[in-house]
Amino acid sequence: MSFSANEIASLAQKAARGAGFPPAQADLFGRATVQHLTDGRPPEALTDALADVTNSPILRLPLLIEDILRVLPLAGPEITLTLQPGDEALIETYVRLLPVRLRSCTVLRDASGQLRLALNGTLRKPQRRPAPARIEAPQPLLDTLSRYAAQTYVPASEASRSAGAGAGNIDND
Amino acid sequence: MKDLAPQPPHSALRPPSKVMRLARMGAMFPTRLSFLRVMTRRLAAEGARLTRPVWQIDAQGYGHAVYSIPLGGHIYSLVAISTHLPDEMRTDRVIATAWDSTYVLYDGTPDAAEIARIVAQAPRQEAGRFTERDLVLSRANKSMRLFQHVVDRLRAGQQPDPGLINDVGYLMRTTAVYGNGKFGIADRALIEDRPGLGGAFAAEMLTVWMIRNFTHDLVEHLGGAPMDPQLKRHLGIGNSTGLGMAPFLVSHPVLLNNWVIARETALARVRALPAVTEDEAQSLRALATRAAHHLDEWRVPDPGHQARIDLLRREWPEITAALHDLSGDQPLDAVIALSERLSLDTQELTIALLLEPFGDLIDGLADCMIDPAFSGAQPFADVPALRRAIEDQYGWALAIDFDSEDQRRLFWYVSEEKLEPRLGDRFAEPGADRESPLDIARRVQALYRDLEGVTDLRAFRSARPDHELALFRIATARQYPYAEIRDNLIADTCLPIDMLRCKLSFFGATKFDPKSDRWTRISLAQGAPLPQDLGTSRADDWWLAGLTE
Repeated sequence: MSFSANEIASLAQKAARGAGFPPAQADLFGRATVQHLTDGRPPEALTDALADVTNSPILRLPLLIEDILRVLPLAGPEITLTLQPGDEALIETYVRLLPVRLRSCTVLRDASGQLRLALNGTLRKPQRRPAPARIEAPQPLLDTLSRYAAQTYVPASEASRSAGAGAGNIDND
Repeated sequence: MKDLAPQPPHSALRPPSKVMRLARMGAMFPTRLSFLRVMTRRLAAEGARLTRPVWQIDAQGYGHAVYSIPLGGHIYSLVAISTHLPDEMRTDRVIATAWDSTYVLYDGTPDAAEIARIVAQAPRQEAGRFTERDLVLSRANKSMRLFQHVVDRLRAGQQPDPGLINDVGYLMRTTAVYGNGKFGIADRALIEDRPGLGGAFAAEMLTVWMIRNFTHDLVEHLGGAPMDPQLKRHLGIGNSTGLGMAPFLVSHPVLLNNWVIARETALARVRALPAVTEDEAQSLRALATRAAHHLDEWRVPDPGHQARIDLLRREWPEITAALHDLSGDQPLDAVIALSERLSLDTQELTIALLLEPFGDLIDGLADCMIDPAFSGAQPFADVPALRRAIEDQYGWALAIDFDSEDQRRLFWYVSEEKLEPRLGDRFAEPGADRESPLDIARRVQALYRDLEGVTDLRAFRSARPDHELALFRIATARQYPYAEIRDNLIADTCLPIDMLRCKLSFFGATKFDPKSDRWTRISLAQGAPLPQDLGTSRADDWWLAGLTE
């Protein structure tokens, strides 16, 4: 089944919140999920990122891409940043959310075994990227996202339906 | 907001500390910058002509119809489906599963297969699946008070009772108008560059205006006779709006800023006018009289809200009187100054009035009421810069005593049943552990407190990812001064209805009829041009238009 970008972003954002990630990082993860799937990257990277709320690229990458925006005008167009294990599967997706004209973006492992991001690019005026008309999402990913997202929902009772919404069940005129 | 050049002179804008308070937001009125008004102005400017290529409605009023209209070089079609609905199933609530009528705004002209698809899916609403050709999804229920009355009168060769038309104001009431990708329909990003649909909620407003036309046609079809055009113009489309709309204003801070700053800039330009012409003065006086008639026609069952309307009626003559002598310097600024010793409702109605005759000066601001860049705010260089920004922009939040239970009593959440926002009492109901992050003031205060003694901001942010939302809000508010509602949204005194009123006034809603502090009925497009009016002077002259003019 195909989806709108907003459906996927909203579901992934809720999933990240449901998994225990803070709201700002969850919001960025929602946008990253759309980018990731649009680029045809492996969906397992998304589910892996949700698995450990204490050690996840969902926490680290928002700060890392902010570093890129800060460093690029000073040291660009070629810069290299250090990655933590686990970041490599999503860093290119997150970078593509930035207002950066990319010439290259590569994950490397240096002689000491340290993961690094080698990036060549320049800042450009922020602009909304063309949205994909539809997004294909594999069912296992949807199931995982939905399961986590459900952790943000509060089960309804008749009392909460009435008091929570501030209206009766039948309101005609 | 995008730059406009050359910039007309303007006075100082009203500060966010004054504008962005819930009580004032809950007193806003529609203006000529409201989105429905912008849409009908656009349709009129293009000479758009509404056609009805399909009318497959039976003698009982059930079936489907298709309306098409050109806009900005594209054709958009409303597929309207009318179905039988037992009375006991007719409810305004989002928990409903069936409706009198359902709608899809379609991108282009649907062929028979696409019509059949929509006719099968639209009545299912949230349970259906839609495609990127479907731009907006909606549904509406008949007004039990008015719909059958109008049909019966027309069948009897009579016109409907104007008093009843005024009391209700619509034949049908939408209970949801979904856009931007919901349930598989097109993302807004797919259409936002199109002429005419790029404005805020433009596709939704076009849909509402077309639904209104369907409701008119349906009663005339059932009644077997045409309605008087003046009565028909006064039949807008109702809407019943609950909490689902409120979090939008918090989760779209840049958009909120751009809506408000456009309106405030418009006000500042009008206040700066050194003088007004006699034609402009006459127009203002006529509009003030129209507003007085509107206030007379606006009656609601809620005693608290009716008391506000009554006070507005008593105060309005002071504004009207002030319009009789506009010979001084900056005369409209003087009217605003006078209004500021009156109620918030009167102040905000005065603003909407004063904007109305000055389209040439302010209509271009409507192009700024979007968030085109979707850009992040600039981060803070260091802790002192962050602390200064909090003190400058969020002094109101630092002053709140969150040790008091009443200041943190409410929690916003999403119901499992309908995936809709709800509001609970954290000390009496379960679910606060799944709270939606609308507690901005509390978060900012907590960040400020935790910054004590911090020197390395980057390290702090890495160690405390829970503060990132507050940081984002502060950075946004520094760049977009009207981005934040400057009230505690989890205090027991928070009235979500104020957020609804603000957003709905930007849509162009009138006749606010609150049913609780969490949901309201409204009218949209009451007095709006009929399709045949689009080429006339009436097309952009319907601010608070009433029956008694």
